[in-house]
Amino acid sequence: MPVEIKDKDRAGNVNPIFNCQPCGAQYAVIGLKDCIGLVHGGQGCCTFVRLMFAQHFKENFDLASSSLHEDAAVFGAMNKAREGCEVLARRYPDIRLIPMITTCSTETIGDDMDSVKVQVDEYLAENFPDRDLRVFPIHTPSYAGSQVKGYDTAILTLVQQLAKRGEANGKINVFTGWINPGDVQELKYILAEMKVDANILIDTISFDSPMLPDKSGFARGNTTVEDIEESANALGSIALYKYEGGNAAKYLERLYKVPAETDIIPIGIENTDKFIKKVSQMTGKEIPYSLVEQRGKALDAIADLGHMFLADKKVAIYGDPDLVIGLADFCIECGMQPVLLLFGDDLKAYKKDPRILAYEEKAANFDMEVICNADLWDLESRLKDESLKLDLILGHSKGRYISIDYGIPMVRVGFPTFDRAGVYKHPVIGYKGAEYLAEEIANAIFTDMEYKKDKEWKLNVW
Amino acid sequence: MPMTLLECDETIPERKRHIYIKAEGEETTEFLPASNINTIPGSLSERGCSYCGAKLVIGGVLKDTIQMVHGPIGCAYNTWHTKRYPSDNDNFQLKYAWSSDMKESNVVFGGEGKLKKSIMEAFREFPESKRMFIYTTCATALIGDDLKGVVKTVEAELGDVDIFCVECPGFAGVSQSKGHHVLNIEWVNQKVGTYEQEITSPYTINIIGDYNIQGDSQLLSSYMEELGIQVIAHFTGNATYDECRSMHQAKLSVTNCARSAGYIANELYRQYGIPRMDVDTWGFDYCKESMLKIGAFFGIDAKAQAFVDKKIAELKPQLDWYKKRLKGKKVAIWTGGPRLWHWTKALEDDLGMEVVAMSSKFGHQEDFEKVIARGRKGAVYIDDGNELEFFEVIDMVKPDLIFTGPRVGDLVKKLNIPYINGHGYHNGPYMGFEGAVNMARDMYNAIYSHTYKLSQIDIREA
Amino acid sequence: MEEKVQFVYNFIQERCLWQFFSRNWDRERNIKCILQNVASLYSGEDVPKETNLDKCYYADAKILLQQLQEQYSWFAELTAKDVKQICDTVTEKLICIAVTNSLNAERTLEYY
Repeated sequence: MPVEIKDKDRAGNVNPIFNCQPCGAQYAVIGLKDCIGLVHGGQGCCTFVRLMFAQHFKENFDLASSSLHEDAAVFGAMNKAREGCEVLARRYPDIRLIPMITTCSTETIGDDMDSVKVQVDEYLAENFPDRDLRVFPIHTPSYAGSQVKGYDTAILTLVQQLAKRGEANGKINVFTGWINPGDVQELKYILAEMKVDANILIDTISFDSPMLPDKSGFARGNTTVEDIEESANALGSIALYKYEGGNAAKYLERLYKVPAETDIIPIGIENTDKFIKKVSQMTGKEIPYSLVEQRGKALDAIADLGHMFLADKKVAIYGDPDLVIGLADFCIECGMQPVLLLFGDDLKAYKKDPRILAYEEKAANFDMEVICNADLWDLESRLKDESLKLDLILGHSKGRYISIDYGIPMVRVGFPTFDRAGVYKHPVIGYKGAEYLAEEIANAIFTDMEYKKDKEWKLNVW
Repeated sequence: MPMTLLECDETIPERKRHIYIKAEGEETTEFLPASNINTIPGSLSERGCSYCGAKLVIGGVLKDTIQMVHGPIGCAYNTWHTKRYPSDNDNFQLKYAWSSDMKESNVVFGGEGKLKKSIMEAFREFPESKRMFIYTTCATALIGDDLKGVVKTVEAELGDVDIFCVECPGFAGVSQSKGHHVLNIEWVNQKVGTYEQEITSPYTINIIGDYNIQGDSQLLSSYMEELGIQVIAHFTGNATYDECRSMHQAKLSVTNCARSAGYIANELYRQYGIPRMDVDTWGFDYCKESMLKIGAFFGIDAKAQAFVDKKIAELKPQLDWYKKRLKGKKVAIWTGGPRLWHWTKALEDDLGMEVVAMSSKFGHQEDFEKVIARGRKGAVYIDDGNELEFFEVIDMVKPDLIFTGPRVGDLVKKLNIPYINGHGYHNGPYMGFEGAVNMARDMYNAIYSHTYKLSQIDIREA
Repeated sequence: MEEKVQFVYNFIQERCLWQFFSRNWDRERNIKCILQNVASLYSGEDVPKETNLDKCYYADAKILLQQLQEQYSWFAELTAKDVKQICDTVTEKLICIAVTNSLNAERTLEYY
């Protein structure tokens, strides 16, 4: 059936799907241990993003601003960035990394961040000669791409700056992309079951953090400088999200001959099968029976729901591009019809992405619309003029009013998901993720049936 | 020394000018924290930017106005779904964010063309809206886009729209405060006096500096209605664009938030002779005072007294119930600035609580004059507090509860201290008589929550 | 009397906001007019109520006086002259802290 891939037909944006690049870079660096990123620009670029992370995780993450003020806009802001690094170095004696994340203002002004790095290195050499503290720029202007590109650029920069040739370590690198701690947990489970030694980049499992009697339970990142250094010596890299980490994997392939796989998104049963087979092939490890069982449980759950409740349901999906593709695959797998996919920025690669082009065949008996550079008004306007009928929305919480006002069940996925409790603790990847998604979707549909008194008695005997 | 250098600030000793511990016999003619000056880069300040102060705090509250953000996508994204100001216009102001989505080519060649297209699209897609605010951001200010020129063209072409521009790039000033200032002055100079409402009462009032957080303004309006007073405009809670253009028609401006809107109150006096009466609209006793003053102004003293008596009879018993249980409890207030001086004495007088530490993000010295006049001796008064200072001050004063934003609240949760959202409230409204009871209830539930006791227990100990 | 002046001064500092308006000229005018009104009201004299600003000062003064009388039982025993004297002295003190010797640098800016 026809798949129409097109661009949003408006110049302006109404209800953006994505934040800008610096946000993506900030999400990457908060996953690093003993690291405080310096956002080089206006204070909002840092404070707003810290708020967004807090909305999603209900946790605080440390990020600093270089506090660009008016004088800097005229005379250049390099001394602000330098001062910011020096202040951080003095006040936080344990930090080992200060990535300087640029923004539209400082990119437009044209600050020479490499010079800043040199100045800071000199300051450190003079004042803290025994400290191992690395400072380097990450270039993320907000007027290009989106948070997706910002994250990808940050991961690539980290690898470029820190990867170090050494002895082969027998591990595989897993570039996770912008996933939740629940996904990291599931990833670790799968790899542990396969007895695979993995270098998870970036390990954000501790973003879900406890209240502890010793008051130490702050959310934190776990990936160290050494972890990134070691990435050069792995026996292979897998990027779960091509658009958020794929370039780092390819860089390692080019420079350190670490073979890279960037096109498998482990969302949905079939995609997870591919992922596990790839891991097995890369590492030579066997696929254990425990994963066969886990897969079976997921299929069992989906079988209970599939052709009875999920089949033919029309779905709209928006969010991170790999997430959208993975979810669309999963929907098709369950008999649902992802009729509208929204990619929220203008990356040219989407139109050539073979996984998106594959929908031409995969979308067997329904029409699919794929909009690039989309915004959420693209979704809302189609509902408003009734050119689109939907049974389900899969997306992040900033689309909530569409669900509320048009009465369409919505399962929160992606980022940020602040209007539901605990979403980030659950996986969407892996077999467990497929099971979770299927049940969340079903429960949302069931609640909607009851709320609308739409044959809710079907559930009496299910 | 009353100007205090905290341990965590020893390497940034200029912070000493910003922290004051009030002692017996001291006056603000001797000691007054430096305020509204440059932020120290890298300090992990809580400050936001000028654009935030203009758009998120004031402009975005209007219930019928398209909020066009001229810049890259992040600025619009970050000020959408980040506030709790409802309206009686189906919450139009909460549901949408508009951006001209500046890209690299616009930064290089200018963004006015894109802006114009975005504006025309917005008016087309939202045909019921004939009013618009346009905000500059860092990028568009740096490249010098001429907003006024674009606006002129659009207004001429469309004929029935009115557009207001705010020049508030994020790097202007040192915090949100600059954005407040610019918006206030430009609005009163450009737009006040260009529209007139029907006058339906001899008593006409502007209510300045409340933004309908969780319905605050709507509650105050109901008070005015009961007294037969016509509210010409709230600036800007639950207000329309045109109501705010007709502020010159009021006989009195009561001002709650003198920080964000004292400017327009001053100008309304200077240009139109409308006196400014500063009131506290939070605090049970303060509300009584405010209502009686308003009554005295309009010569409806008896009516005002009857209203106040009714509210006291209805609500004071509930307040007193909480007072019994909140007496002596210690509170910290870490918010924008004015709530420090609005709440410090009110919490003491209404509920017997002790406000032991206060930090202001963007207050000026005027705010510190007020809060130090009203606040306790021995309390810590901080301008532009940063994260390490927060930890140190908590150790010093050991608060039972902290009023602050959600992110800092998530931070102090780890120290087993409950927070209440000092910006957007937990369960508001918090203004008015009813609001004072709501606030007390939230404080009681927070302080007496079992969770924060249980989290202190290490189950491994005997 | 000194003690009573201190009580009234402290009360105003802890309660009122008009002495902390944005600029020196506003602060000075507010302080003088409102306290003058308090004294006049107490002595039963007429206070100006022509302009809206007058009415504002009247309202601020009326309620302040009411509050002082509620707060301090000794207030009832004061003569009109006493109250005038207290108000004059408090005016001086407020002008000192909020106008003349205030460390707030913004008070002297020419524009709002």
